Amino acid sequence: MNSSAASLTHDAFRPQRDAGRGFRAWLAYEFKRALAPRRAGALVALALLPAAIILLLGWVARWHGDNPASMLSPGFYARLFDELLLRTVVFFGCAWLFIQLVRGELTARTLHYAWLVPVRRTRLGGGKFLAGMGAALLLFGGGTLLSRLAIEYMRDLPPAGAEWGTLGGYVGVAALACLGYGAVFFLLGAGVRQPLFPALAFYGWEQINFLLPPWLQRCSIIYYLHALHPGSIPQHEWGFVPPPISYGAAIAWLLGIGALSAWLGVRRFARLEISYGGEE
Amino acid sequence: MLARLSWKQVRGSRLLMGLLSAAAISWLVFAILIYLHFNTGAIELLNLVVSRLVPINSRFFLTFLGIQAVLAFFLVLLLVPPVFSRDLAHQALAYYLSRPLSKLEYAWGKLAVAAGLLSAVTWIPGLLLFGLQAGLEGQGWGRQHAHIAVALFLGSLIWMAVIALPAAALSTWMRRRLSATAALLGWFFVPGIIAGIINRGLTTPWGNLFSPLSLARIAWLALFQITTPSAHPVLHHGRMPLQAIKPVPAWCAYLTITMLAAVCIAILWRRLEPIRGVRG
Amino acid sequence: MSASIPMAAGREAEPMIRLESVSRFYGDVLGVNRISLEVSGGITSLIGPNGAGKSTLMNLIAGLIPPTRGRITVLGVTPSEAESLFPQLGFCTQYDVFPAGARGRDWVRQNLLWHGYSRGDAAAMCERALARVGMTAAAAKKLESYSKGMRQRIRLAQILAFEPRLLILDEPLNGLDPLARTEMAALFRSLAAEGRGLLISSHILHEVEAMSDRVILLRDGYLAGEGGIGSVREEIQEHELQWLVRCPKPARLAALGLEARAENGRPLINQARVFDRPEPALLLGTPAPAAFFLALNAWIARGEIEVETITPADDDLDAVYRYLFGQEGA
Repeated sequence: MNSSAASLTHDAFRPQRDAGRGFRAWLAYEFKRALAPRRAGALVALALLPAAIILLLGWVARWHGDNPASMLSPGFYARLFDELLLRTVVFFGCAWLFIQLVRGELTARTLHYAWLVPVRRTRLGGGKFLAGMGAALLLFGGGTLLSRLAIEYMRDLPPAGAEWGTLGGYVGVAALACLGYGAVFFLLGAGVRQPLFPALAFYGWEQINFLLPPWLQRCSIIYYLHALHPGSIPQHEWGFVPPPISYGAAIAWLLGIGALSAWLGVRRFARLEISYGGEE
Repeated sequence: MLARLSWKQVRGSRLLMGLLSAAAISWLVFAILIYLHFNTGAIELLNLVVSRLVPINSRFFLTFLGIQAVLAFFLVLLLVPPVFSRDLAHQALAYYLSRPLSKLEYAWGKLAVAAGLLSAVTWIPGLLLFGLQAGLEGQGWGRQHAHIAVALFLGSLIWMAVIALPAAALSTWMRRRLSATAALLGWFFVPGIIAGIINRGLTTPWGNLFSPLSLARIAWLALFQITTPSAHPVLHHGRMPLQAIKPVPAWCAYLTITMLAAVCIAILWRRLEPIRGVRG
Repeated sequence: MSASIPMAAGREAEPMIRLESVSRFYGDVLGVNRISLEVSGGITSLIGPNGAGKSTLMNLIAGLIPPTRGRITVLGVTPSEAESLFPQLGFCTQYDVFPAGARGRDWVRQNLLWHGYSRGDAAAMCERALARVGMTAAAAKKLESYSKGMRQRIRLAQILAFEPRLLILDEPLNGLDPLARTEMAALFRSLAAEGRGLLISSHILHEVEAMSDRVILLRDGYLAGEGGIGSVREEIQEHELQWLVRCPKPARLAALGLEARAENGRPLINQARVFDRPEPALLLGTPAPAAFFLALNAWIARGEIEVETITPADDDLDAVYRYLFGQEGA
């Protein structure tokens, strides 16, 4: 230890600080952390799952001598997008990613490092959410894109014209799902000590959405995502017919739910206390 | 000692008490249904045709086991991750395993509470129901339907293998309660959805081998000797019945469950290291 | 509650930290209660036994937890004003953890980037801080592989790097070997000499006594006393300390100690209790520890006795507190 040679230059030359640069550094750090191999390995696997299943099914069909195009129809993809991508990959992926953003730091007992940074806590929280959104869009938007390309590859039909529009539609709906689910899970992660049980209840609520009366169906995210779904998904034999809603209104509702949940999450995050007792 | 310690850690949980109460209520409802079959006064008073409404047969006990299994899953979610993650996250294994405790004793000590509580909500109340029915029915009903008692016991053990062992393995793998619980939820829901897509895409029942829930259900159906078409393993979300398709043979399910249990035990064995080295 | 230890002279006009009747409760549990104090430049030690409320007080000062009641001002601002406060305040918390997978140098540099320094400046400042705490060679390793002492140093480097005016260090000497403690104490003194304020917590008074300008004593969440180190040191030197010495001939050691005299004519040992089991040992009380240990060295060197271990029997502050403030003050 050198206590004199490398003395700190308290009053001499002092490098310049820039608050905006500090916030950008925070954003970049959180984005990298969300995609760090330890944390994101399972997420990457989850995001690639739809494409992998499509390729697997296509190859098995070819191996049997069948034409994959007949199996991997637009209707098949529409259902796969709903059941696997929206309700499973995006839902569980966002749950994992966004709950970890705050609760993961509390369980790892590292949140105090953020609290000692010269950036306002609301900005830190906002940065965390934005970094999570960036990671979610990259993973699940990318996963949707890859799954769509995988199906086109298996059908030997390069996307053209309207197909590109449909592809864009699927990626857009996946992005809105990331916003809606991500914001809700960010709020849960910041506000609840055991967020997984409420998350499980939320999963149940989203799953039974079709059974709910129309006015209650509106109190969900999947209802608006279904309204924007670019393909056609079969109606449930029993349950209520979902009330009609325009594309614009569905997008506005999703943006609104996302913004409100994120805002509440950031507020809750800013009021967190560093008291790690009880966190595991 | 370890089992007592683990029990102390969880016994104050209101969620645990809620789950145990729900399990007791469920048992009570089934017991009342059995009782009503033999109480002619009550049947006349309520003007019920209970025997036609709820026949007491294999399916009755399978339904009971199914409900209790869901509660058992929540119990596992609540009990197993914390008992391991507390020790692993705080590097406490070095203390346990440096005393005269083997890995096996440690793992069993930690899992004993979960095993006891799972037994208390699955096969023990199941056999009590069976005993109640056999006692009230008399005339050798118990002997004639002994396979139901065996199915209740073995079916419960299979369920424990399918949920408790992966829970223990995931807890030691993930080391943190939050991550382990999230991974367990993923384990419960995601493979079933993948299995459904594979089944539907390839019009095959073999996708069920990817789903622990389907595996348990195939095993239960075989144990309860239920072979009616409607009882075939139904694809997830039940939109495409498999009546026309020959189901997966029970021995395949048994074999897969055994392999799954072996993998979980291997992971548990490997991850229960007293000291975790870090590469600089 | 507060003890009558005289305050140190020469206090600065504007305190770096000011607490006005600050209380913090965790539900029904008391953290700290009605603490009013001011801390200026130099080294101030926050002393108290485990659970006295030292970490709670430090967390309150740094804004990691809000007070239930009272008002806190640090460097002229409230702890919630992060953008104004944290460029000037460095806090090494009690939490000895780092994000998984991080390496020493990267972690120090990352903190500088969050402070808004450019990459070039951050790299240079990081290297200076690493050199100052003697961690340059080990900085490329993963933090998880560090020893306790290395983790203490890298955390210190992290806050030294941005050159704060005020450093708050929660148990910074914990886990350090004697040599590292001496080096660390020298570093703290040099930081204080540069005009920075240091608030250092410890549960061992003798550990920080030599480097502190001022001492704040906490007990059970209450301010038990505060003052200049000189007055506290005098009080402590009068206090008789107990030691447990494991040696093959405890009776012989007792006889030597009872016979010998310090410079002021007082016996080196005024209490002695010999134990044969579980192993031979002597529990002794000495009013002059420095003179006793000097004599002990001489007896060992001359081969008059052999000593296996020496353990302070009351190195926690309870004994000192009982002595300084009486039972009711404790």
